[in-house]
Amino acid sequence: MSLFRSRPARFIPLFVCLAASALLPGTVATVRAAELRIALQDAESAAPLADAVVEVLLPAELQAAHTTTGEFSVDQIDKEFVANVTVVPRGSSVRFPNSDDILHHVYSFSPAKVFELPLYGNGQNIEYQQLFDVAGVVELGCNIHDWMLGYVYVAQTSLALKTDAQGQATLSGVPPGTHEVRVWHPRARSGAPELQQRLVLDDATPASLRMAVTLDRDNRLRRAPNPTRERYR
Amino acid sequence: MSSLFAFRSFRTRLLVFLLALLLPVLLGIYVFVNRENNAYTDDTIDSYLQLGADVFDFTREEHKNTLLTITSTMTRDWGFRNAFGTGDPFTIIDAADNILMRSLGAADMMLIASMEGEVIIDTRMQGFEKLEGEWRALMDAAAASSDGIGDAIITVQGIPYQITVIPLFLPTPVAWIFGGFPLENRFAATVKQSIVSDVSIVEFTQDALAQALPEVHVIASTLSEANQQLLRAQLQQAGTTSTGTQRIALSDGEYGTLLRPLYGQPGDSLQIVAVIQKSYNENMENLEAFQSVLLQFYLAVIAISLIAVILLARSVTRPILNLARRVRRIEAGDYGQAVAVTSQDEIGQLAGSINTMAAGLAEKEKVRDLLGKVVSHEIAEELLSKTIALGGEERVVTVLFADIKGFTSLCENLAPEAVLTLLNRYLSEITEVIERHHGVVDKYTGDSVMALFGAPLSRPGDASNAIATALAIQSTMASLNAANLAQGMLAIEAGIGIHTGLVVAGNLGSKNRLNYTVIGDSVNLSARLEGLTRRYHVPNIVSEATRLEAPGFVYRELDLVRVAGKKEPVRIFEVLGREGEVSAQVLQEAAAFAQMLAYYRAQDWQAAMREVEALLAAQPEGAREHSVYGVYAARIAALRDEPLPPDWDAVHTFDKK
Repeated sequence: MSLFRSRPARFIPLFVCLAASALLPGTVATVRAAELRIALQDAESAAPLADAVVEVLLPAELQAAHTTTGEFSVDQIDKEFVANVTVVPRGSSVRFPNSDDILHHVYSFSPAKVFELPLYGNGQNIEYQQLFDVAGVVELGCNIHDWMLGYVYVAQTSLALKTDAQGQATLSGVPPGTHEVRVWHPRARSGAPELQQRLVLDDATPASLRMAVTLDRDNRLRRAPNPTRERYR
Repeated sequence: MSSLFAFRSFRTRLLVFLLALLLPVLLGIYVFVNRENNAYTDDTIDSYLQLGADVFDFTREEHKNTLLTITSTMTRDWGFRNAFGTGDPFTIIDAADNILMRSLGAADMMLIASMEGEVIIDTRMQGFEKLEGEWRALMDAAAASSDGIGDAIITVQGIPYQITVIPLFLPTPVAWIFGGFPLENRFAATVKQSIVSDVSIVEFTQDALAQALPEVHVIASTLSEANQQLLRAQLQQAGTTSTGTQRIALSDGEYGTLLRPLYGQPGDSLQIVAVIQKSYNENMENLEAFQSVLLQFYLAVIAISLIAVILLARSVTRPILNLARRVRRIEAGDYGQAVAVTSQDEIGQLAGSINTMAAGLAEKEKVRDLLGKVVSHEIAEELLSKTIALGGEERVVTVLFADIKGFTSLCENLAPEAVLTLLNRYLSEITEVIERHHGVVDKYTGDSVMALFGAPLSRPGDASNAIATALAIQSTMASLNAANLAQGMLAIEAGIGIHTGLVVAGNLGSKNRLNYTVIGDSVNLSARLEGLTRRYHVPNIVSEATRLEAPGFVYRELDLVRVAGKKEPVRIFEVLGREGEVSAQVLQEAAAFAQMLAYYRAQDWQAAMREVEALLAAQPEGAREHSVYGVYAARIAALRDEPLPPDWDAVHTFDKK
């Protein structure tokens, strides 16, 4: 149950209530978008699971039609990345402004995006943008503050959402059909089979994905407590 | 027994007994102290070793923490992160070497593996691509821990390494960083600096199938090369199962030895132990110093005791030797020089007893001498040969007093030397006569002699002997007087008083001067009777008691008298001679005197006077006044003109002594 476990985890049974709307045989579907309602919770505490990302993986030929790139921003406030998890469609650009009055040194060695913004302060690198054109999870770190850890989830398309504080998200505009749906969370055990499922979505009735996710313990380094330097925040 | 403990001197005996008492006690103390000290040394060594083992572990722990600090800090270095980010093994291994150099030797090796256990780099180039065995186990243990940190001892190319592992955060864990330092001589020397005990790291290799002794290899040691070989050989025999202190002899003495397992279990094919050793000799140095002090103290105690014993023995033996010399002198007949009694103890009492004994012996000797002088040799020997009770005893004795009448007037005409010569001559004659009749001269009082018949020895006929003595003295005096008269000197007459009665006989006097004598009324009466011879003008007066005891002699009754100090009247007689030897004239005179006495007692004064005058007329002219008849003539003349009391008993009372 350790966050450092590197082998595939044992299978943890979880209830996946695929309360998908009944397929109505013989009904001719009009070409309309389907809707997926997601509700996630922590398998251990049964609490709503926020900041989890749900992405509908579309076949390559459908991806372009459902991708709308944009400009995003991951701020650094009080020596933390805000937001902690940022979902961007592939091809979007992200800025990393510094709202603290000390310098930060943002880096990523993740395969999806290796980059570095050497020491810069408040107001600097405002216009500097990083293009995230490879899908994947980019782990952001700060070379000055080892505990700072943020994620940029680079989705294949725009069909990806982050759950809110209630652990819910509603993904609309999905082309009906049978799709792979992926659930990701920073602490979700990677490679767990239930995290990627095939769902049948149609436009008549919203599909619903309810899932309890088994989490590893928080693996980030502890923030150094330093009350004497309170003024630098 | 007696031969074993037959000592020539008291001092030797005391010495032997003292040593017999003292030495076991001292030996016991020595053994006890020695045992306690050895136990203390063992305890000290044990705690040294236990402490050493703990410090060994502590030092290893500290080194481990240092290693973790190094790997944790240095791998978060931006340069290293960049290098790792390149994914190029050659760059990463250079960066790792760089970290090892920066650690100034605190870290000796580094191995980096992916989170899945794929080896990325290994500064020791051990040649495996995937973590296996102990490395894998260590990784799994770290992954299972809460902080991702783990440590183990792993042999790297034959050398035991302290290995730590920590994840590399980039910023999430992306790799395992293993760091290590060798448990080698340098580490052993570091530990030795802290614990002042020798440290060795020893490897045991055991073929699982073979029953032979394990291969033992000393990996690191602070011991000398020679001692390492000794340790190796002995550990090969002893094995690694012992958990307590064992003694292992090295070239410079025994070492307390404690094993602390580092790797593997007893019986495993490979086992590595830390060996902590402390020399007993170093601790024994203090003990030996203490033993030396103890021995010196013992010598002092024994010396003081010996001196004390010798002094004590001398204080005892010196008076004893003095006593022995004194006894030898007594044995030789020297009774003088009494030993000074200075103490109140047994020896003092013995000395007092010897002094008393010597005084007694001297007195006895004196008695023997005196006895020889006063009594005949036969009597003296007879007296001495019998056990004489010298204590007071009552016995019937005939006491004879002989006095020289008119001695005082004799002295007026003579020079003192002549008086003494004359006196001694008479006394010698009298004494000789007494002894010849088995009498004992009791004492000489001036011109009188007191003699005893029946004391200290009684023999039959004591009273008769006394009477015979009186008669013999009288005849001796007569012959002496005849000679003196021929030389123109005055005649000397003796007065003799004899009485037989109960006396107390015994030694009288002080402790130092004893006299054997008799005391009692009988003695006094004898003396009185002797004194009365002057009143009655007779040569001797014998009491009725003696007369009854001494038959065979002719007596005439003189009077019935009451002497001074006595109530009972005494009938007194004059002995005239042995029966058959008295002349008819004397017997006739005695018969006439008896007739006169009868008239006198019947108060027939006329007849009595007639008889007395007849007797007086028969006396020579000059002797009439100084005769018993003259005494009676005067008494009758006085009595017949006085009225007599009705109870007149004819007893004449002498008030004066």
